[in-house]
Amino acid sequence: MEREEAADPELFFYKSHLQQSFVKWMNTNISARPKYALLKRLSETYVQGYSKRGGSKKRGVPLLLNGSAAAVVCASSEEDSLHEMLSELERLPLQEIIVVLNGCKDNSYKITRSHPLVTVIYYPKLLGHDVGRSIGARLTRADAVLFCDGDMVISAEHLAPFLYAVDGGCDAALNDLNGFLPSFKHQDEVTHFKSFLNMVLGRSDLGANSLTAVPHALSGRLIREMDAQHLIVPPKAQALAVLKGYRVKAVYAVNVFSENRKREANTGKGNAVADMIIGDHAEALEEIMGRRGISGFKGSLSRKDVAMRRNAI
Amino acid sequence: MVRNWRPKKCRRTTRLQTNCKFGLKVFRNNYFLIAKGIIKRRRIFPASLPFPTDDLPDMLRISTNAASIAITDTYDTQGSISRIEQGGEYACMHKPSGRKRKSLRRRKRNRTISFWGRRSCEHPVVSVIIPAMNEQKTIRDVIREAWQVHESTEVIVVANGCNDRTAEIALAMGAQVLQFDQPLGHDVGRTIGAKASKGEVLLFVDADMRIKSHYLRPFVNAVLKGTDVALNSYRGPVQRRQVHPVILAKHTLNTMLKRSDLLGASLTAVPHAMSRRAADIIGISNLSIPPLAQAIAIHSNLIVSAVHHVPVGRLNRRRGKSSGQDLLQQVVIDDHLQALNWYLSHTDPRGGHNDLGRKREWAGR
Repeated sequence: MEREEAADPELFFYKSHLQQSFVKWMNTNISARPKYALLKRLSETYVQGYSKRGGSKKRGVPLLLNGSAAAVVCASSEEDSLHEMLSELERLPLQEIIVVLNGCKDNSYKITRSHPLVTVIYYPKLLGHDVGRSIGARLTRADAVLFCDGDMVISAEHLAPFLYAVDGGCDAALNDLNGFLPSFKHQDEVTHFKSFLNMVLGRSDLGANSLTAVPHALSGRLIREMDAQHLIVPPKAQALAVLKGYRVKAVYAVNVFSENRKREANTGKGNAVADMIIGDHAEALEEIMGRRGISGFKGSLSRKDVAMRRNAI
Repeated sequence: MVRNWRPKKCRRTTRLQTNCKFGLKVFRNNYFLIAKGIIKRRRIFPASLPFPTDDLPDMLRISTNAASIAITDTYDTQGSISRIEQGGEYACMHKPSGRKRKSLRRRKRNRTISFWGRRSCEHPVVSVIIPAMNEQKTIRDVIREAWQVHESTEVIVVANGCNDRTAEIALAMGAQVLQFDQPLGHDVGRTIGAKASKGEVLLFVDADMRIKSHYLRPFVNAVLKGTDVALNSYRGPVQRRQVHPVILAKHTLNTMLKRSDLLGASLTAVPHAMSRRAADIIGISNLSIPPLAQAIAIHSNLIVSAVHHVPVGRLNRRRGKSSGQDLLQQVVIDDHLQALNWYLSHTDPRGGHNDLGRKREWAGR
């Protein structure tokens, strides 16, 4: 808190004149909340005009946000991309960026500390997949929380729609990866599981979209009410969110396939990461069946009735 | 169940292709008097009561109980009944020797019921199990192909909830018929059929799919060579991005069972075969829920493999749907969930998949 008050307002984008004046301008000129596509254009044009008038080029992406926003970044030994990733996040009107560093053997900590908005949580040992997300989510009190990975640089323009959707009333804004998928025949097993989970949840419209994929954003309401611990196993969190009636939506498509860092563990069929994600889905399915019973459908007919209806003359 | 005698319909559809003038067959507590191609149906009284021979027409005098019948006296001038097979519920007449066969064209035309001169073996190697509910259109062809699967075969038709002539045709084709007035439900017939079977290899087919015997034989051969469960490697249409939920469920289950090499092969799809040992290990009652049976088979380290590809999707009959969705879809998905539930409760909540060293306790409670 001390740090924030002492600093120059221009140091934090959410306090900057650009963001403040954009919100003001939007509130006075645009009555209905626009879709992201329109907001993006308005924002771009506004920044252009602002830069021209002010004489210096502004890089920020001002957004119309009613609540507060934060980002959680999980990273381990990703110094190559971490700085760039954090710079992109700083272009968004975020109140807070929480970076969970675990098992770093490089300069990541130093890089992270050089960003004024960032809160660093440092674990000398590896936490395992997605544990950092849960820790980061627990620490923030923001209304919209964006989740990213440190190994992938995604531009602020591509991250903004997730925050914007959550701010607009969505509880979980997922990355819409369906468009990047090949035909079912060439999809991997993990994608099959993601689709299956959504199907069992009665949300076939989500396709293969999952909380496992980044970037995505969650509402503070969801995180606080659901218990952030469930975020360790993202499919389970997704299942709980859908079961409890939260609004889960695929809002924007960012291609993370081509940018994802190739490691030994996450390439090839039946790799360790895929196996882990399948295990996550097993947990999610168990949770669903525990809560809802084995029958996946409301008012489903018995075998006998189905036979009677289908095969009767 | 006594139905009114409908001469017109009977004459058109229920004609035995034999050259005899008079005959009798017993079926479902009814006896059928056959005279010159006309069938008359009467109820047979329970075995405890004496059979009212007075009630019979003059041309036949019958002494019988419900289990076995014999024609004692025939009022037949031309003497055309040459042989009567006794025992069981069915008596049948063969063509008398020395008579001229009908021409091919003629035979083809009235082939409504043609007797297939095969009966189940005493000690069969292969038991073909065919659950059927109102499948009179196809059952005949299905049974004919089933007989050709192996030299030593028994064919078991589980006719449940039939309002048509399925059972009748199956009997005429020489199959062993298990009858149930009420529908049993999808795949329950497999359990009933498997219980009644005697063969070493159980081959399961559906009554609504005409599959040629040379497509069925690979399954039987695979089991005879040591495979425990031989599946159809049919995956369904997988060219599109979002596939049918059932296909998705099949792939998912196999991956969960760490057998993603099976792709979409599933016990839900016919044809498939299994050894008697496999059926016993799986538990015959579990055969009613095919995905569960598959989970048990794979979990108990039976040799499960997809041996042959039969494109059954094209053979599937179009059925009634409710609000654009096939009703069976729900049942199949529920089956898969049940199988997953069984598997997860018999392994661990992660289905034996790794956690990559997550330190969950670090996230706090």
